[in-house]
Amino acid sequence: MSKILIVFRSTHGAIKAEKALINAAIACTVIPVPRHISAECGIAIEINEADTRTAHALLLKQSIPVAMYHENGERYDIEEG
Amino acid sequence: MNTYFDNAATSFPKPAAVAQEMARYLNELGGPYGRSAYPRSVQVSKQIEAVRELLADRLGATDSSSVVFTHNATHAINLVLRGLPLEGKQVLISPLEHNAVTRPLACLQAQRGVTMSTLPHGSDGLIDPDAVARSITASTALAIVSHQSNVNGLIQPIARIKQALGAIPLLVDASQSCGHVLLRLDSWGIDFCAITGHKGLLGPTGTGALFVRNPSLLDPLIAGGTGSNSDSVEMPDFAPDKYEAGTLNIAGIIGLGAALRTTPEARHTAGDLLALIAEARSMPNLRVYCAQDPDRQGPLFSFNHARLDCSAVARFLLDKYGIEVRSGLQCAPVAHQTLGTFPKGTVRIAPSVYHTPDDLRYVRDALSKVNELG
Repeated sequence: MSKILIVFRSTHGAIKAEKALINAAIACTVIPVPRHISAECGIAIEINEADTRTAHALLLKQSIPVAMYHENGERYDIEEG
Repeated sequence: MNTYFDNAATSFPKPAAVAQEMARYLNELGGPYGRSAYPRSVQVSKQIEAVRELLADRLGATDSSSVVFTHNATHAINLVLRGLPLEGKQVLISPLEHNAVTRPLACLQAQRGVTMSTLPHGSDGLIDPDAVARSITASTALAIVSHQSNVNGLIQPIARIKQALGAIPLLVDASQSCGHVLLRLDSWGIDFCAITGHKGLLGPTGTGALFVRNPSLLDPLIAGGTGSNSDSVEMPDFAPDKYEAGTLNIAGIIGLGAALRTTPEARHTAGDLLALIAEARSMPNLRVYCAQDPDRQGPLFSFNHARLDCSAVARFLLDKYGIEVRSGLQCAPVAHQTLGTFPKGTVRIAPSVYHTPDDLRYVRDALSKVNELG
């Protein structure tokens, strides 16, 4: 199944996002931020591509700034799904 | 018998979970906050963020990113004073400020031409919100109010003061009040609030926080690594990272979290303390410094003997009764100038939620003996 990577600007946002996704029963995995995507030291969250729209709407509602990427590092356009 | 009555300096005892959770982090968990992605680090990051959420809730702040961890309230206050464009501006202060406020302001006075002006008040230091507007000038850039005095325990009406200030930012020093007095920063429109973890919140020393309503107004105090924007030498421009350079006091914050989750039930009531204050006031050789309005009384007060030096009284209380108190100026010379007790200071009685009515009666009995001295 294709994965989408969610990258955050802060650990605060990442932890808040993971909590929100878990509470919304959206499957998610915390992973190191891939180097080809970002130089951030912290965590990214991997979700199933099928859940992207729902996840994006949820995080937008929580005012958590995010950027989403395909596994190959290409920026994911929320309008794609 | 709990004879430690210096909880305004630092609280003791702490809930047992504080040391337990700190030890668990140091001995079993370890790991950094916000730097790595393996489970240990993620667990630590979750714990720290959970404490941030708890603090936000305690402060009545809906956006937890507005809560920035600091080393203590002094650090938080300096962050505001050094981070605002105060060059040549006027800062309004309450008449009961602690040196955590007055010393950095004195530095700014010398270095940046900042002027200080005291808000209108009564003899116990209570600010008159209806008179605040008179103090505002074209150069007023900030007001700072100690929510609860560390000398006489007076609680200021900060919601009404902020209302009177309007758009002028208000920094509330809640070092003494947080943990005892309700704080509702969002609904009161408070701009900045400095708290410490080791007094009323019953957490460990080395912890504190600053609430920042609008981070775009405030420059960071220090710059360094944050685990974010790591490809840039520029500090992040968003809270909380903007103000959290360097490694946080992870063990301390975890301990603070344990304290926030524990919140022991108070073993005495406000009425018990007011009764102690009233009894002290009835003793002819004692002069008590407290709020004139009992509804404005926080959990501490000061007193002096008519003839004996406050340090001699403190020594008597310790030697004869084992009662541990602070005597002197309590790092608040401005407050003592307002109360008329400068330069000698006072003896301060500061109980915690752990004191029982019997403990307070013990203090009362000791004070009655102090009254007989000299």
